[in-house]
Order: sequence, then structure tokens, then C-alpha cells
Amino acid sequence: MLSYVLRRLVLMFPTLIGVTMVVFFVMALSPGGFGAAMLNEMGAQMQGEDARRIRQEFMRRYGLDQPAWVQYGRWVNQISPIGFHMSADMTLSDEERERVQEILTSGDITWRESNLKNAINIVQSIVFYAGKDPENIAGRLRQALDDPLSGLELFALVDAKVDEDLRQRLEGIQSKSLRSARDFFVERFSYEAMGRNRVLFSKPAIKWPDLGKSLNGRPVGEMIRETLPITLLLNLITIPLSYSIAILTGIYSARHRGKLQDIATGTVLLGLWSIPVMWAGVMFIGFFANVEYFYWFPTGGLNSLEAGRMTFLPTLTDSGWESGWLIDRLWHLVLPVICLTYGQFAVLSKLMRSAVLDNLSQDYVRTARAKGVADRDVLWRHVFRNSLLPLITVVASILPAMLVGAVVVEKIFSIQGMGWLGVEAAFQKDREVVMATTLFASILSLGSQILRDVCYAIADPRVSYE
Amino acid sequence: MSEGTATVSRIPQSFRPKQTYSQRFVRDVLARPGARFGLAWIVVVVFFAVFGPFIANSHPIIMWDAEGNWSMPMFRWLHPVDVLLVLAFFATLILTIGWRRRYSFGQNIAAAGWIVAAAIPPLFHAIVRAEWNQDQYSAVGRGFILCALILVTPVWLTLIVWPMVRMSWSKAFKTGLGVVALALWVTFILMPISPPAVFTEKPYRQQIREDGVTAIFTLIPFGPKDQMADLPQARALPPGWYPKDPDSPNLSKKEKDKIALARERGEPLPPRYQLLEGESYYNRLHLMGTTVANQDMASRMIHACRIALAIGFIATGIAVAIGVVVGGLLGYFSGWVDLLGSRVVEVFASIPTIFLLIAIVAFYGRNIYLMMAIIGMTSWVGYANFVRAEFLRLRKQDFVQAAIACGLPLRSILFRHMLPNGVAPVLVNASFGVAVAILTEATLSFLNLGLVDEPSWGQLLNQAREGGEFYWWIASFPGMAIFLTVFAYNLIGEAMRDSFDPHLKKASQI
Repeated sequence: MLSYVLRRLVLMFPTLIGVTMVVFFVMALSPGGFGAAMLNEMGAQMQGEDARRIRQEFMRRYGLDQPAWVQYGRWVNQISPIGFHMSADMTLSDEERERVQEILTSGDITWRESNLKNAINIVQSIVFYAGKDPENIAGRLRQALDDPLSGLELFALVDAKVDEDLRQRLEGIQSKSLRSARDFFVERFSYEAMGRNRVLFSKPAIKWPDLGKSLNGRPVGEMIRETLPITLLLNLITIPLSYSIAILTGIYSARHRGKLQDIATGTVLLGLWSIPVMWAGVMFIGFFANVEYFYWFPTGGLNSLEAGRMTFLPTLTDSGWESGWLIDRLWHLVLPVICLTYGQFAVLSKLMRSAVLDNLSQDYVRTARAKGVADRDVLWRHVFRNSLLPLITVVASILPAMLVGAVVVEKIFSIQGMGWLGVEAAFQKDREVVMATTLFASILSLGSQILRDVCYAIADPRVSYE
Repeated sequence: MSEGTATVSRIPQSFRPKQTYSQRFVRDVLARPGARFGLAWIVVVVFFAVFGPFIANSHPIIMWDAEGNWSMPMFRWLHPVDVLLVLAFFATLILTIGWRRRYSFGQNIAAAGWIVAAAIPPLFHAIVRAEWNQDQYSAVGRGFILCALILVTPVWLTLIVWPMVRMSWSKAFKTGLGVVALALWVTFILMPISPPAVFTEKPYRQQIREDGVTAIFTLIPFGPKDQMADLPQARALPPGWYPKDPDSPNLSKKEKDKIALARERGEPLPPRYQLLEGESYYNRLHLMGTTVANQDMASRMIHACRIALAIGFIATGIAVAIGVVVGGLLGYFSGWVDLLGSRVVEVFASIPTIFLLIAIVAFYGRNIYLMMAIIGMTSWVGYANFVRAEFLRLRKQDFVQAAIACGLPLRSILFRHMLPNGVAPVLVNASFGVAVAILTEATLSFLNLGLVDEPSWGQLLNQAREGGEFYWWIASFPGMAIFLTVFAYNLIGEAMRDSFDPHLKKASQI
């Protein structure tokens, strides 16, 4: 059993690679690529130097100047716990830093604090990007500071191009004052060198997976950490609910097999299954969260605005009972949970019904009846537990389906869960976030498949994977 | 009685199969009220999809002025696709009737031939209209149509006149009827060419109000994209007759208050009460109200049927085609092809479809064909698994082994011998697939990733809550339409699955 699970876990990786590759290349190969769309949007809002700066920043952060497969490789390296260090993440040790500072401050030179820091960072970037010795680089930089114009050659170390415009500007400044030329040089150089990033194949590492940064600069891992619990909360309420309803209706229709009750239940459930979630959601909000009709429920969100000031449980205050945080949260969850639940149990109920019918025709039921066991006991003691088996298999397919259902529900009720995050990211063409949500969704679905097999084996001793 | 039937009648009654398997299958499915209801609804949707432009159109069927000038704008502005759909509809109808009545193959082909022949002039007409889209047909356009007619004549002669000479009287009579119908149809289509085309500068409604023009409209006199620019711009009117009479006693108290307030302040009345010159109260019916962009809901609903049907069938068609080919190859070759291929299938099975769809639409732009292709390309996994399992079973069977031993080419083994035996469960499941595809399109449209200007149910539903307002008619009608269509396909699928699978035969009987 253990070896089976391990094998499945190992087989998960090629599948995950495939999934992310498909999504990644779909984005990378779209007309103009992921970068073009984003940069155009940026360019429309800003002009000149600002736009150029931000463009360069994004180019480097996502490696947009490289071919798509290199970008994908970088992304995989970034999320993989075993991988290579990136040059931008490396730092000099304290002694090396001190040594560099010493070299930079030697001789006839005055430093502003921030500029000295910049200069040290330049050395650090060059050291790891170009793989050089820190003291050597510090020395060359120190020399360059005496004649910034000749120091422009150092730009080649970080693969930065020196255009004629920059050279002329520096020349102009240097002819007036060496000191401002130095400042200008350090500023420009640090801007060129800082974001330079390269995979250091010589430095393998075991590290925390890093999901990257979203377009707005926030770490994606943080965003996922905020949104995933909300989606899981919705699902954890919905799945047991739909299962219990499905089991009851399934048994009900199996007991009345072929009669009007059976046909009616089947039709109603199929009908519920066919109701589009967005329609149900819009109607619920429109009629039950609307001042014009019935204002029974809140229109959206997971908590009221004043939820932060509430006690957890309902409390008795001077002005009467005050609903606490818990009641408030539950009150907000009613409509979304109904939307997520109503369609789910049609399939489950049908499955339960056929399982019960199947079991009722087994020999052991006949034996039990022959023994004189009451009908009710036959159903609930013998048949019921055996009929639950097929329902386990469906958990695996329900979980990913719920995530999809959650996209629409979260949009309608403005709940900020994973689905909402994914849709928003796709709208803003935010590559790292789309990739992260895809990754999590496919891990969820693959994981639940394994879980299903394990549950199946535990529940049914006849099943073995050896 | 010919000799053939005499031989058959000598076989004892009990040995003769009364029905073929497929006939039995169809009868079984249609015996269920659920499937019958589903089919009826699909027929309604198909009807609206095909005849949409003839039911809801801003162009009048015919209009004339006092000087005797007249034109038929509706026919002039038919799109080639409209014409094609109508003709395809009739061709299918005739073929189906022929099949039910067991007409001979030749007769069916002849019947379809009329339709195809009939398709040519109106298509030319429509294409010429698209090409020389001016007020009057250019000489070139007329020449084109004339050439087309001349070219088509021999086709008609061979397809209709020659078979008629050799037919029995009753058949010749039926065929004659067909020919007359065809001739009528052709004249109908070509008619608007002859009179000079007038009245095009102004919107039709304005001409009727101001120039004393008379027009006969289709049942719903609004096109799907008609934003009624010539009328007072009202946002989202509830169903009813407009413009409303502000002095009518039937208005609700709220409405009366609003009017009183506007009059008190000396402001103009809300658009729904504004009467244009030459217009009378309560003369426009918005059966299902109007949208936020001031378009007629009913018209958009009707024209959206086409997109719903097309998305459902084309997306599912693509999915089934990919699924059958991939699943068939995996199942037939098995071994390492299967092992590798199954990983690919697994990848596509675990991609969260909705995120992929959203990403593709967001990154590549909105396009109905792209949408169909993507929905198809992301939903084939189920079919592939079905076919794979079925082929794994079939390849061991004697008839396949015999086919291989005979040295038949691979495509013959796969598609002529194995596929017909293994494809039935796929087709049954395709019915559910159509439902899912329609839902997916609606979801995408609802998330603002659907079509922009074209009418679609999901896109209409998306407008139901705009600007903090809730318009119940914009939510109810499209939602109901999506629900009924999805429900219909699910009912049909359920009935097909139950009658296909003998174990489930005695199941719920919906």
C-alpha cells in the first residue's frame, strides 16, 4: 500500500510538469507574449523614464528577455525545493562586505551613506552574476570611480549595454564635477546591476519553494495563503452537506424504486443539477439580498464591515443580544453554500441509489430477510454501510469540480478565495499568480485522486494495489 | 408486388425483426416523457436559431411609401449564414421525412439535391449583397445572379425534370409540389432585386413616423443589436408596452410619484413616458423588457439560440473527435504508446479547465470560434478514456484479429471495424457534453470573457446586476433559457444512457 502511494506520488511530478507547461506556454505563446500585454498596459499609463524603469524591472523579474522555455525553466527552478540558487538571491558574507567597503573607501574619496551601500550592492551583483572575486571587482570599481567615463566598460560585466546617450550625459556631468559624475555613475550602475539574475548551475540548493512575485510586487505565496483557506472553508462546509443530502435522497429513491417518488426525486435532482450556478447566484442576491424584495442576507463578502469589533460568540449587551463574529460569518455563508451545494448531490444521489439497489439484491440481504430481520434493520445495518463505498470514489472528482464552481460563486458573492484570485490574475495577465493557482488546483485534484484510491482500499478489504 | 417482398413474406412472422436496433433505441428513448420534453425544447431552440432573423429583425419585411416605391429590407439584409441555415434546415427535414417513410436512397438524394440547387441563387444573392453593398444592385451584381441562374438551370433539369419524366404519377405530383415550392422560394428571394431600393438613410421607425411610410415588420420589430438610437434612451425597461401614458390611471403608485416629482421640478419625464411626434402610446411591445444598452431582450434571446446551439455542438464535436482518435490509438496499440499517451491524457485531465479557459480567453482575446475550439480541446479526456477502455476490450476479439490477419490498413481496422462497435457509449455521453459546453460558454460570458456585441445568454445574464441595480427580467429569461437547454440535454442523455445500458433499463424511467 505504502509503495503504491509512493509510486503515485512520484508519478504526480511528470503530470504536474505537463500541466504547468501547458498553461505556461499558452500564456507565453499568446500574441506578443505575456510581457507585451503587460508592458503595453504599463506604457499607456506612464511615460518616459518611469515606464522604461518599470519595464526593465519586469523584464528582469520575469526574465522576459529570454526565450519561453528558459523562462519556464526559471519558473520550475524557482518553485522546486531542490534547485539552483539565483544570482540575485545571493549575498556576500559580512567579512567580504567589510573588505569590499574598505577597498571602496580607500584613497581620496567621500561617500554618501546610501551611495556606498549601492556601490557594495553593485559589487555583490557582479560577483554572483559574473562569478568573479569580490576584492578584484571592488578594486576595479574603485578605480572606475576616479574616472567614471572609463568605468562604463564595467557595465559589460552584467551584460548591460551602454548607449551613446548615457555616455554623452556622463561626459557632460564629468566635465563639470567629478563628484556628481560619480553619483550619477553609481546610481545608473546600481540600477543596471541590481535586477540582473542568473541561475547558478554551480550552486545547487535545497530551499523553500518560492512562488514568485505578482505584478503588484506582492509575494504570490502570501496571496495563496490568504485565499486558499477561504476556498477550503467553503468546500469543507459544502462537501459533507451535499453528501448527507445525497445519501438520504439516494436511499429514499431506492426504497421507492420505480414508483412516483423515485421518478420525481430523480427529475428534481437532475433539474437542480442543470441550474447554472451563476443564475442561482444572481437570483439569490437579486431577491434575497435586495432592499427592494427581501433583505434577508448580506450581498457579499465573508463578514460585515464591523466584524473586527465583534466578540466571537453572541453576547448579551445593554442593547440586547449582539450577534458575534461566528454568527456573522455563518450568515454570510448561507447563500454561497446553497449555490455550491444544490447541484452537487444529483450525481451522488444517483450513485447512492444504484448502490443500495445493487446491495439489496445480494445474497446476504436475502439471508438476513430469511432470518427474520426487520426491513428497517436490513437497510440501515446491512445495506447502508456497504452502499457508501462507491460514494468515496466520487470525492476525487468532486473536489476539482468544486474549485470550478467556486470561481463563479466567489465572483458573484465577492468572496476572495482561490477561484477569485485565479480569475482576477487572468484578467490582469498576472503570470505568476495564474501559474500558482493552476499549480495548486492540479495538486488538489491529483492529491484527491490518490486519497480516493487509499480510502477505497481502506474501506474495501477486497481491493489491493499490490 | 416484386419478387423480393414475396421471398421475405415466406419467412415466418416470428423470425423477422420488427425493428432495427437503432429504431428500437430511438423508440426506447422517446418513450420517456423526460426525453420527449428535452427534445421538444431543443426543437424550439433549433427553430429560433434557424428562423431568428425572420422572427426578430429591425428591417421590415416590406415597406412602401405614398409614391408607390417599395422595398423588402429584411430579405436584402439577410446574411449568407441565415440563408444557409434555413436551407440546411429544410434539407434535413426532407431527408428525415424520407428516412421515416423509407423512401429510396435515390429519392432522398434527389430531395436533398433540390435544396442544394435552391441554395445557390439566394447564396449568390446574399454574397453579392455583401460584396456590392450599395443602395442599388450594381450591373455586375445583376450579371452575377443571371450567370448563376443560367449555370444552375442544367442542375435543376437533371435533378428534377428528368427524374419526373420517369416517375409514377403520384410521385411526379409530389415532386411537382416540391418544384413549385422551390420556384416560389426562389422568386421570393430574388424579388427585392427588381424594384428600386429606397429609404435607407433614416432608421425605419423614423421614416414611418415622419415620412408617411408604411411597413410590415416581423413578429418582433427589433434586431438583436438595435440600440434604438432614434427612441428615448431608457436603461433596462421591464417587460411591457411602451411608451407608457403618464396620465394613465393604471400606473402604480411609485410610478405616479416619480412622474409627479418630475413635473413639479419641471424636468423632462423619464424616457419610458416620453412620446415622440407621430407616435402613439403603448405601440412598442418589449416582450421580455430591454437590456441595459437599450436593446430588446426578446430579440437578443432569440438570436442567442444560434450561439448556444453552435457552441454546444461544435465544441462537443471537436472533443469527441479528439477523444475518439486519441483513445482509439491508445487502446489499439496499448503497450508503451498507451503508457506514454495515458500520461498526456492525465495531464489534460488534471488541468483545471476553467483556469486554462480563462487564461486563454484573457490572453488571446474574445472570439466565438476560439471559444468553441478551446472548450472542445479541454473536454475530450472523458471520451478518450471511454474509447480507450472499449478498444482495449475489442482488440482481443475475433473479428478484429481477423481484420488484422487479412492485412487491412490501419484506418480500416480502426474506423470501419472497431469504431462502430465501440463508439456508442461516447455518443450517449456526448449529450451531457453538449450541456457542459453550453454551461461553460455561459460561465465565460458571465465572467466578462465572452462575446462582446453578439447576443449570448450568459452575456445577458451578466447584465442582470449592473451598477448596483438588479433587473429581474434580465436575470430570469436568459437564466431560464440556459437552464432549460442544459436540462433538456441532460434529460436526453439520461434517457439514452438508460436505454443503452440494459442494467439501467429499469432505472428511474424519466
